[in-house]
Amino acid sequence: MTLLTRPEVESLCTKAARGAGLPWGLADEAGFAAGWLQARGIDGAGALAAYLAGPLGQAPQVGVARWSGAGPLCPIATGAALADHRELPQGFTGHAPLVIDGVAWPILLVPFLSGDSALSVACDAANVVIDGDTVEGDCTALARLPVSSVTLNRTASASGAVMPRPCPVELGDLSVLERLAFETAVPPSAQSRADAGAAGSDND
Amino acid sequence: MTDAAPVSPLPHGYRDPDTVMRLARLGSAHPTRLSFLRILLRRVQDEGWRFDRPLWDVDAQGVGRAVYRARGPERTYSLVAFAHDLPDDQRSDRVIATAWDATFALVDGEPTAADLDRLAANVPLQEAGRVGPHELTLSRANRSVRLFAHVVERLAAGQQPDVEQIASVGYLMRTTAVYGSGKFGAADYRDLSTRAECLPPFQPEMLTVWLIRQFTVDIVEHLAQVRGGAQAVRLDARLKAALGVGNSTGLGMAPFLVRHPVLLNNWVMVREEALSRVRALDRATPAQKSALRVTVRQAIENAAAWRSEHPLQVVKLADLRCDLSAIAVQVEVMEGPHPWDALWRWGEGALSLEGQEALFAAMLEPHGDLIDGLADCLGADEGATQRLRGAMRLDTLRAVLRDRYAWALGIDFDNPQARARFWYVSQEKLEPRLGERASDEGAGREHPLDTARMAQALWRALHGEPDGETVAGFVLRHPEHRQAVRRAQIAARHPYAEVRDNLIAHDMLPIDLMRFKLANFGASHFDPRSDKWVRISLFQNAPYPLDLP
Repeated sequence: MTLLTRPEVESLCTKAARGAGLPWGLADEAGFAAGWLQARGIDGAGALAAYLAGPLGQAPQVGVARWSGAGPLCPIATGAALADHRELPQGFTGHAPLVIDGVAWPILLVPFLSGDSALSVACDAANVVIDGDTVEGDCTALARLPVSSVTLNRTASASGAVMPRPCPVELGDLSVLERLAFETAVPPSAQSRADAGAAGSDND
Repeated sequence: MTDAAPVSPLPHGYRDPDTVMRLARLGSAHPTRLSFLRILLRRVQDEGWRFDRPLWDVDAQGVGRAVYRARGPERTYSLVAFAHDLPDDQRSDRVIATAWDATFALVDGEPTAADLDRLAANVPLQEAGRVGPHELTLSRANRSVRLFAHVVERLAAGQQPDVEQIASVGYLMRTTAVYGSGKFGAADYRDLSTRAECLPPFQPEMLTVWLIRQFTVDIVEHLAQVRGGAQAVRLDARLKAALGVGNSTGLGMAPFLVRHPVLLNNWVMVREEALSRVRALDRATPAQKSALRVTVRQAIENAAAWRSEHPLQVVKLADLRCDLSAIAVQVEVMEGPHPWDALWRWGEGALSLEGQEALFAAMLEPHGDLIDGLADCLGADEGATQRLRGAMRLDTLRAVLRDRYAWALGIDFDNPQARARFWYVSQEKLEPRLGERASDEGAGREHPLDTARMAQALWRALHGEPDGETVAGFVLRHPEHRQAVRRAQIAARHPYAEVRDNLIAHDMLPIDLMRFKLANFGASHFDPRSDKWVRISLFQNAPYPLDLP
C-alpha cells in the first residue's frame, strides 16, 4: 500500500479517468471525488480504479424523484449531475427522496453530495450519512459495493465524525490507475526531447 | 450576481482584461513590491524572524549536509541541504536529470536525527524518493560551473572574485525545480491555510530558495577555506549581495497559470487594485518622488546588468533601456493634479510593453503603506469553484461567453496556423511539452490548454439550444464541454481568469507565460535559452538570512 497525498490522488485519478475515456471535465470531477474520499479515510481511489477498469457506465436519465438508465450508471457523471441539479426540481433538494437506479461504485457519489445539510444515502447493503463535509456510517462496506440502487433522503444531523487518517492506495489499484494515467501521456520523440531543455549546455 | 447580470462588473479604475491579459504584456512583466519573495522578506523583517545554521557537516570535497533554521513568532521551518560531488557529465537542468550538485527539503519544524537520516535516503533522489507530511518543499540546484569554480579559486587565494564574472552570471547555483504542495509526499498546502505566513502564494517555496541562497555562499566559502587554509578570505559583502539564486525552467511551469484561473485572476486583480490606488492619489509628496527616482535609477542599473543573447530578449532589453531613460526624464517633470495618473497615461502612450511594465513596478514602489496589505488577497481557493452553477440558464452562459471570450470567438481555427501546436505530457517523467500538430505524434492525447478553441467549441454547441435550458441539463448531454463551461463560469466572476490569447497558435511564446509567473515570484534578469526555456535570478540584492540582526 502507498500513502499518496491528496493532491497526488487527485492528479493521478484525473489522468486515469481521462485515460479511461472520460472527457476532461468529468475526469477533473473523478479526481476531486477520489481525493475527497481518500482524505476521509475511504478508499475512493480503489473504487475509481475498479470502476475505470471495467466497462464504463452511462449518464443518468434525470427525472423528478427518480433517475434511471438502461445499464449501470457512471458514478462520476451521476455524481456531477447531482451536484449540478442541486437547485433544480429534478435534483435532490431535500423535500422528497430521490431514487437512482443501478449506480456503479456508488461510494463515488458521496463527495458530490457533501457541503450541504445532512442527508442519508441508502444502498442495497450499506447506509451512510453525509453532513456538511463529513461522512459516517457503513463507508467501508459502501466502498466495496460494485453496483447498487441508491435512495437519497434528508436526515437529522450526524453525530459529528472525526476526520480519520487518509487512506492508502492498494498497490493493485495504484498500478491500474497509473496504467490508465499513462494513456494520457505521449511517447517521446527526438524533437520533443530537444525542445524540453535549453538550446545549449548546462555546464556553463 | 443574478441572471440579469451575467458577469461581475470591472471595479472602477481597473484596466480592461483585453489590455491586461495579452501574452505579449504578461510576457513583459517585472517584479514588484507585491512579488512573493518581497512579501516573504517584509514578513521576516517586520516580525523579527531569527535565522541560524544549527548543522554544518560538509567535508573537504564539499559533500555532506547542513540545516538552516528559520524561527518565526509562531512556528519554525528548517531547510535541510545535501551537498553532493557531481561529475560534469551528469549535470543537467532538465527534469529528466537524476543527480544534482545539491538537494534540499524544507521541513515544517526542526528535523530530528532520524528525520535527517530519512531525508538523506530520499531527498537526493528527488522524484524517485518520498518525503512526508512534515516536509513542505523538495528542491535541487546545480552549480554555475564557471562562476562557482572561479569564486572558490579566488577566495582560496585570498582574493575577491572578478566583478564582471559575477555580473555576467549572477548566481553560484540555480535551482532546477522547487516542488511544493503535496508533491512526492509533501504536505498539502490546503492544510496550512490557517497560517498567516502561508497565506500569500508560494511562501514555502520562496523561503526555500532564500535559504538555498545562503547555502550557495556558505559552500563556496567552505571550499575556499579547505583549499586555501589561513590564506582564504570570505566573500566581499557587496559582491555577495549581487548574487542571487538562479532558476532554470522549462515548459513545466507554463500550464500552471491556465490550470489555476482563480489564482491568476487574483494576482492580476491585486496588480490592478494597486495601480488604481496609486493613480487615484491627488499629489506626489517629495518623499514619494525621491523614492521613485531611486527606484528608476535602480531599474536602469538593473537593465544595464541584465544579460541575454536570445534575439527576442535582446530586442526587448533595448526597448527597456531606452524606455527607462525616458521614464527618468518624465519623473522629473511630474506635476499637476493626479500626477501618478498623468505619469501612467504618458507611459501608456510613449512606452513599449517592457517599458510600461517597468513603469508599473516603479510606480508601486513608493507606496508600501497604500498597497502592501494586498498581499493577503493574492491567494485563491480553487476548490471553491469546483462546482458548476447548474441552475444557470443557457442564455446567461451565452452572455458570459460574449462578454469574456469575444477575443476567442473570432479566431479562425480552420486556419492550420491557429491550431498549429498542441500541449501534451511526455511519458518521460510526465513533463508538459508543446508539439507541432502537423508533424508530431500524440495530438490525440492533447491536454486542455487550448482555452480559446474550447470556448469557441462551446459557443457553437450552444447554437440552437433553448435559452431556458439549464447548464446542468446541457452538460449532462454534452459532458465534453463541461470544462469549458466551468472556465466560463469562473471567468464570469473573475475578469482576469483567462489569458486572452490563443495558446495553440503557431507563433505563441510559452516563455511569456513563464515570465509572468516568475515575475510574480519576484524574479529578475529573464534570460531565455529558447522560446520554451528561461533562466532567471531570484533574491539578487536582497539581504541574507544569516546576516539579519
